Amino acid sequence: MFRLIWAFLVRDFRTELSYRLSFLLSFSGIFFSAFTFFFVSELFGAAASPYLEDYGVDYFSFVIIGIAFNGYFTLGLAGFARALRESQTTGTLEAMVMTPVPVSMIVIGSATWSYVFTTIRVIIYLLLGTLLFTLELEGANFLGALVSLILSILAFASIGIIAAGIIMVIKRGEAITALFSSFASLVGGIYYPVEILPSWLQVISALLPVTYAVRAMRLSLLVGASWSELMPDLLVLLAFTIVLFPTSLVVFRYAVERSRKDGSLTHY
Amino acid sequence: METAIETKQLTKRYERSASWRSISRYKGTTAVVDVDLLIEEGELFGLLGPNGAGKTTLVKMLCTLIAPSKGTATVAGFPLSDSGSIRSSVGLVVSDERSFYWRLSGKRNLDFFAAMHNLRGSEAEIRIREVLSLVDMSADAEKPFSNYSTGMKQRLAIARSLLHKPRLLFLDEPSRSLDPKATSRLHELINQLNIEENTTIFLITHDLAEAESLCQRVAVMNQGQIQVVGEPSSLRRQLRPKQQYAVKVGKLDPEVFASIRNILPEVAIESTNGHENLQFQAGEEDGILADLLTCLHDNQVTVYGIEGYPPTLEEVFAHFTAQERFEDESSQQKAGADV
Repeated sequence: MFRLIWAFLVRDFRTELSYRLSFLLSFSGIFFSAFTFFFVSELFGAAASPYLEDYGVDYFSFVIIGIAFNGYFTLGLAGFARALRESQTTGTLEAMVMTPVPVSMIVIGSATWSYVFTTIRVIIYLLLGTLLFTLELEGANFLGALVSLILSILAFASIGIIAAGIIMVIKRGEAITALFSSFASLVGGIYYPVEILPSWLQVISALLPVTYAVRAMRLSLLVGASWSELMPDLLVLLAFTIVLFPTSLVVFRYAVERSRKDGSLTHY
Repeated sequence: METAIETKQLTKRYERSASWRSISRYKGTTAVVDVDLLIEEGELFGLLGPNGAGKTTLVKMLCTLIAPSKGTATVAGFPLSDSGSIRSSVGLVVSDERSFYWRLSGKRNLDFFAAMHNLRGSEAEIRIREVLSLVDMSADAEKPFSNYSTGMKQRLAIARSLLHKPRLLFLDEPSRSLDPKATSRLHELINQLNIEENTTIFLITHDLAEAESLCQRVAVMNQGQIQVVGEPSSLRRQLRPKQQYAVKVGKLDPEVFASIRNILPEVAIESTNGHENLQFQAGEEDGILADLLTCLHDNQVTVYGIEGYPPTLEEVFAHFTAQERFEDESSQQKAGADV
C-alpha cells in the first residue's frame, strides 16, 4: 500500500512542479495571511487577552495555529471529493479503475499529495510565526500535537470520504462542502475562541470535530498541555473517528456500487 | 482451448430514477439485451454495430466498470463478481486521450500505471521498456504527453494496457481519428499481439474493412442485441450465397437477348455507349456463368470485361441493422398514429 501511495505522491508532485510559477506563488498566500493577522493582533493588543487566558498568548499566536491547521479541515472536507472529480473530468479515473486498485484507494491516494502540501504549508506558517513574529513553541507538547493531528485528520477525512461518496452519485457538490467549510470556520474556533460566540452557536460548535482539533493543537503547542489536559479533546476526536470512519467506508462503498449500477462511475 | 469470455443472457437496463423526473416520459432504457457470447482464448473477435447499439456498455460490463442488471459472464475465467482478478487479467483501450496526465511524459505516465498494477522497481522498468518498444514509442517516451500526436497517444494507450501482460485486450474503436498509415501500424500491432503473444483481442469497430481484415469472427450488435455471430466469410455466404457479376458485352440482337434470358431470367441489362452491361447473381458451382459465356461466344458477341462482387461485410451489417431500424420506425409511426 505504501508503494502505491508513493506512486500517487510522485505523480502529483511532478504534475504540481510542472506548473512552476503557480507552485511558487501558492506559498505567497502564507506570507500575506501571516502579516495580515499579525497587524490585526497589533490592533487588538491587550484587548484580546481576556479571551485568550486559557492559552496565555497574544492574538497572533492564537490565530496562526487556527489558520495553519484549518488547512487540514478544509482538505479533509473537500480534498477527496475534489480528487475524485478531477480524475473524472480529466478522464483518468477510468484508466485507474481498470487496475486492481480499489476505488477507495484511488481516491485516498489521489488526495495524499494535498495532505503533504498542507503539511508543508503548516510548517512554513509555524516557522514564519516563530522566526518573524511572536509565536513561541518552547515547552510545546509536540507528541501531543502529533496525536491530535492524526486523530483530526482521520475525523476530517471521514467526513471527506462521505462527501466524496455523495458527489460520486450526484456529481456536483462543491457548494455543499464549501458551505460546510465556511460554517465550520465561523463557529469552529479558527479565528476566535468559541467562548465569545452566543450560547446557541456554541452548541453547534460543540458538534464539530474542528472545534476540538484546533483547541487540542493550541493546548499542545502554545501551552505545552499534558496528556491529562489534552485527553477530553482527544477522546472526543477519537469518538468522532470511531463513528465516522466506518460510516464513511460504508457510504463510499454504497456510492461505488450505485455508480457501477447506473453506469456513471466515470461520468461527471 | 480455454474460454476467454462467456456471457449468458447478459443484460443492462438503466432504470428511471425515482425523483421529480418521474413526471417525465422517460421510462428507462435497455442498453444490452440477453447477450450470449462465447469467445475462445487467442481469438481476434470483432463487434460491429451502429452508434447506440450497446457495444461500449457490453465491454464496460465485461471490464466490471458497469454492473449488469441480469445474466452472468466469465472473463478470463473469472466471474464478474471477482472484479480484481478480471482487471488484473484484461486491458482496455479507449479512444480517450484525456485518460493520461498531460503534464507528464509518456514514460512517467507508464511509471504510475505500472505501480497501479503492482509492478515494482526493475521489473516495472523492464516491462515499460518492452511495451514502449512494442508500440514503437521508445524514442518519444520522455516527451510530455501533451506533445504527442493522436497516433502516438493511441499507441501509448495500448502500451499502458499491456503493462500487466493481459490475457485479454478490449479495444474500443482504436483506429478512430488515426490516419491510414497509423491505422496500418495499429493493425500490424494487433495481429502481432494476437499471433505472437496469443492475446485474445475483442475489437469494437465501425470500420467494416478493419473487421474483415483482422477478425476471425465478428458479431453484429443492434439495439442491445447480438443479431448474428460468425466468420466474415460465412456470414457473407449466409446472407447472399451467390456472387454478384457484371459482364460488359457488345450490342445484342433480340435473339441473343432471348437466349440470355433463358439462361438468366432475372438478369438486368443496361445499355451504355454502345455496350450492354449484364448484371446477375450466380453461384460458384452452378455453371450459370459458364453457360452465359458459351452463349455469348456462340453468338459471336464480344465480351469486354467480367467483374465479380462477392457479398461484403457491409451488406451483412446493413442487413442486420437496417431491418431493425425499419421495424423501429414502423413501430414509431404506429405509436404516433395511435396517439
